[in-house]
Amino acid sequence: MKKINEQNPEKDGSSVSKNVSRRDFLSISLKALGGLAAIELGAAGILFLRSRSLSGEFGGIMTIGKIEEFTPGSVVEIEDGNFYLISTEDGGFLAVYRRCPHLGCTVNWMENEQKFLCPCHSATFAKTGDFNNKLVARALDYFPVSFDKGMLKVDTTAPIVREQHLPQHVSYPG
Amino acid sequence: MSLEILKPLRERLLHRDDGEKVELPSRDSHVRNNLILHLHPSRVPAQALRFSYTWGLGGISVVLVLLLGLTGLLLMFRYDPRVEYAYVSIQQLETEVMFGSFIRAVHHWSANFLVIASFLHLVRVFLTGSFKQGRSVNWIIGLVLFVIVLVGNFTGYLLPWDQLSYWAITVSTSLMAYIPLLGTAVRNFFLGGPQVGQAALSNFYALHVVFMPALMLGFLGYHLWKVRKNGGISQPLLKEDEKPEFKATNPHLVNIELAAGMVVLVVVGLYAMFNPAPLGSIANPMVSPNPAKAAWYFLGLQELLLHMHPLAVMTLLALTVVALAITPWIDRDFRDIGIYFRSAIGRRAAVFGSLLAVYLVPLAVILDEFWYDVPGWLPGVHTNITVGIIPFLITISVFVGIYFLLKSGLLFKNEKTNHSEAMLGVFAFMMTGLILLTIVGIYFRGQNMALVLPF
Ligand code: HEM
Ligand code: FES
Repeated sequence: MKKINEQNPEKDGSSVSKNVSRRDFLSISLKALGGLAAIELGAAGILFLRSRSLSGEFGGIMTIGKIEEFTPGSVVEIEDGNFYLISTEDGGFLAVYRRCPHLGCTVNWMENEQKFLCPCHSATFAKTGDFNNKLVARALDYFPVSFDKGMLKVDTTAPIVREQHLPQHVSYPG
Repeated sequence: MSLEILKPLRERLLHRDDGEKVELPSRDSHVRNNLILHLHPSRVPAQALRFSYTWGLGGISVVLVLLLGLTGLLLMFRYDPRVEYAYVSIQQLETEVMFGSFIRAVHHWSANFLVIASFLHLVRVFLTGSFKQGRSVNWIIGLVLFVIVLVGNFTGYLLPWDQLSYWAITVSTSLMAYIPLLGTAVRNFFLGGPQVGQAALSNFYALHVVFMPALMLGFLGYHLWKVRKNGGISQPLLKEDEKPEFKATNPHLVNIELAAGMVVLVVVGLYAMFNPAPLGSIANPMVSPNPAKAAWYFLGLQELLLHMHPLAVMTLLALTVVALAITPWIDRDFRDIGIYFRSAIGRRAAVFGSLLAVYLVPLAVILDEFWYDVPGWLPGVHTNITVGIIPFLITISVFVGIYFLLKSGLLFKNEKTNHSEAMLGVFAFMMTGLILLTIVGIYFRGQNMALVLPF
């Protein structure tokens, strides 16, 4: 093929340009267009599939109740919020996500032992959500707690991941 | 009268070759032959016909895939992939629909048997070195098919929307979150949110009924075509003066295939009649069952998870898959192709590997449960090291150790195993270990995943 080009440049249009023959130009642009189409379709596909997760199926800002309703030192399960509301002895609040940071099972609050136990691989967590087991090196995730006119609100849009429990994760009214 | 009809059939079954080594293709109906000859050559080497060579495992898998497609299509007419109705539609299938329970059971058990059949097929191919001599591409295609089988099963597992499916999928997808950097995004992409819900069900449904079967069809077609392209299934190299012995595909091969297919149909049918597919109570995101177990074919992995950091388990898994994928390039000596265990010494290497696993794996499980406590011994050291890197390195060094022990010739009175045979020993150890871990996961894990006796 090369030979023919050299002997008879006009035949395949390579005389138009010294560097790129018409055939090469067409084939390159075809490939470029094909690549572009593939990228477009791929991106469209991914964006199409992604939007499902933004539908707000999971959580939002929830009003849980009056602040006085929760006795200090208690742990209450808020089922449709996916969290446990922990009322600390000194009047603070902490909302821990119910999901075990190991592999996602629902942890149970053991009132007698005063700790959270995960039934799946028996990881345990302290009352603050702090880990005390060898499986998981992470405390239970938590949701931000806020207060509004004596009412307690929890923002369950997205759980906040934390290495370990710190005092600033607890919110105090007023 | 009826006996007259059976006569040719009887003759066919009793068909014996009468000493004639090279047979011409029988002159059966053209149409039927045409169909058969698309899949097979007209004559096949007598070697390749031995049932004890392939155990018919590939063919059995094909029958199971066909059965899955057929029963899956039927189920689709009745199944409703919305969280409020999924469980109910399966319940109706079980109680109200004529033959609903049976069709579902056939689908369920075919899927489970397919995991076993394709796993054994993979092991057979490895043991006979059938990935050698130009069969490397088909070996890789086969690995892909095995992954398709697992993913197909996995995506189907969520559909009944009972406690079993909900928590098995929750646990398995949480694993994805451990992939460095991308983890959470990948998991959220597959689940369509942070938890298993409607988005996850829709995803899995689409993947299960269209995407995976389509992939399966494409790869399976290629796999079968490639077998023929590679000159039929593998067989030992011929000696200098040996002449290959050929037999007509029809009836010799065709009869075996028909018989195996029938046996599969009967076994699956009978099994499904007496064992309906399990259905737990409806999925409840509030309550994890105790213990929460993955599907049985993933319990080997789940067992590893009790001992190691998820990242270590995933690295181990990825390394194993890569090692399997590049096996044809690591082990290129094809003089032993088509021979089980490569050689007598290879057989001993394999037995050694398996026996070692039988001792070592349960021992390691028990020690880890009751005594081994690296995090306790090394207080203050991050769990990434104590339950991650340390057990990972121990496992890898056992693999490497077996290889060099076999290679050194110390074991078998200075009869050295060659590279290929030593690899076989490692493979035998890994597969036996995986099977044992799976058995521990299925039968020996009870409440809180503590070790218990099943009896
Ligand atoms: C690679 C092949 C396939 C495998 C390994 C597979 C596996 C499974 C499994 C394990 C289940 C759960 C069944 C249960 O536990 O009850 C299932 C359910 C289901 N499958 Fe498949 N399947 C395959 C092909 C298909 C095909 C081709 C279709 C349809 C075209 C299909 C449609 C369904 C439907 C509708 C269900 C829900 C019904 C139920 O859960 O009983 N499957 N599949
Ligand atoms: S999921 Fe909680 S310990 Fe594994």
